Amino acid sequence: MSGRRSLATVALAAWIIVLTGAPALARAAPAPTPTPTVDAVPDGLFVEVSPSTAEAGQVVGIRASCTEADDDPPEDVEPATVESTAFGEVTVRPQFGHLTGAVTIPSDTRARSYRVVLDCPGLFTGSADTTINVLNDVRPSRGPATGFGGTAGDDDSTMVLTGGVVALAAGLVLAVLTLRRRRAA
Amino acid sequence: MAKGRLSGPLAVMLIAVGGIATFAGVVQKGAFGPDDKPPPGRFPVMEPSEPVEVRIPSLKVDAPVHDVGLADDGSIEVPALERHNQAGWFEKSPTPGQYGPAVLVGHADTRDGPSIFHDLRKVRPGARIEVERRDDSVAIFEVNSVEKFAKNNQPIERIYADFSRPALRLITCGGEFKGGSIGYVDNIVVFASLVEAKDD
Repeated sequence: MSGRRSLATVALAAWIIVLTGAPALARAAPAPTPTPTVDAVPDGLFVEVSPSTAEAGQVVGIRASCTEADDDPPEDVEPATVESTAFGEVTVRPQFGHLTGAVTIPSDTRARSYRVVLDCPGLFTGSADTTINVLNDVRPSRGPATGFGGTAGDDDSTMVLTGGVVALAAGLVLAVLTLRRRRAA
Repeated sequence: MAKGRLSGPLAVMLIAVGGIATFAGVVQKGAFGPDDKPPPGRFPVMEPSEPVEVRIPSLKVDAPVHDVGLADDGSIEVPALERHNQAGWFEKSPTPGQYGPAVLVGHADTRDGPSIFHDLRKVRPGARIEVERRDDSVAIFEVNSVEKFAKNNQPIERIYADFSRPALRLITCGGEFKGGSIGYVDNIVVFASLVEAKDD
């Protein structure tokens, strides 16, 4: 009973959405349009950023491919665009069979994770995507104050070594003296 | 003549003790220990996830980790004294396993005695350090070198700005103890690199 009623509610809601044309809700409704999610990425397409974690102000390298696994020739020949809020748009060009490029993350970029999207010519926006983690170059200027007791100082190897050498030398001197005295006696 | 009769055995004893101490000193200096170990060429990379626990099996260290920020004097904050047996992860550094140097600080000691990183200078190149993360994965690092720097003169770029691979820095106090507001003169810094990523 309740199952049928909820089904009816959904149908009614869908009808209202269609009638009013509410765009956000309409997209949420199960429609057979392919969405550019990771699952929908055709085999072979990828984009990667290296290093995938970088400080604002650093240069990162980009590698990508717009070639599907069964494409002929099986390498990239056309440039494509990679975009991200972290660094804007950058063109990646064919090199060694893949698409490569480099970009500087502006030094005023806020520290967080950003999506990086590959736009292949003739394909949906978001042909493939990845993530770049941006950090700010907050660097300590001096070492942390991590001790208060004085028990962790330098190891005593210097003292042991010095003591050992002194004792050894004293022993040898004493031995020489003793032997001489015995021989004289 | 009693002096003459004793001097023989005394000489033998001094030579024996001196020899043993010299040998012990040389061993302790690390003359026979492994040299700095360069990181392997291939390495895994992990998604960001904050550290929750750090383990150094060779030192029997197993401690919780919490976040620490930057103090007013430009140094990394240290864990509060009542948490002296925990390590602090510098929240502006990458999480352990991401590209870049994840920084963990810990106390060497308090006035009451040794703390979590008391024996850090004894860790050897090649030793493993495991960091458990919030996503239940474990980042496993291998020690490359253990070095000592004056607190006010550190190779900042080398310690904090090497983003060429996922790495770890463990920092504590060491060197001469001055006490007062100065404490120790130096910091011990362990340089380690990610060698393995384990999902739960």
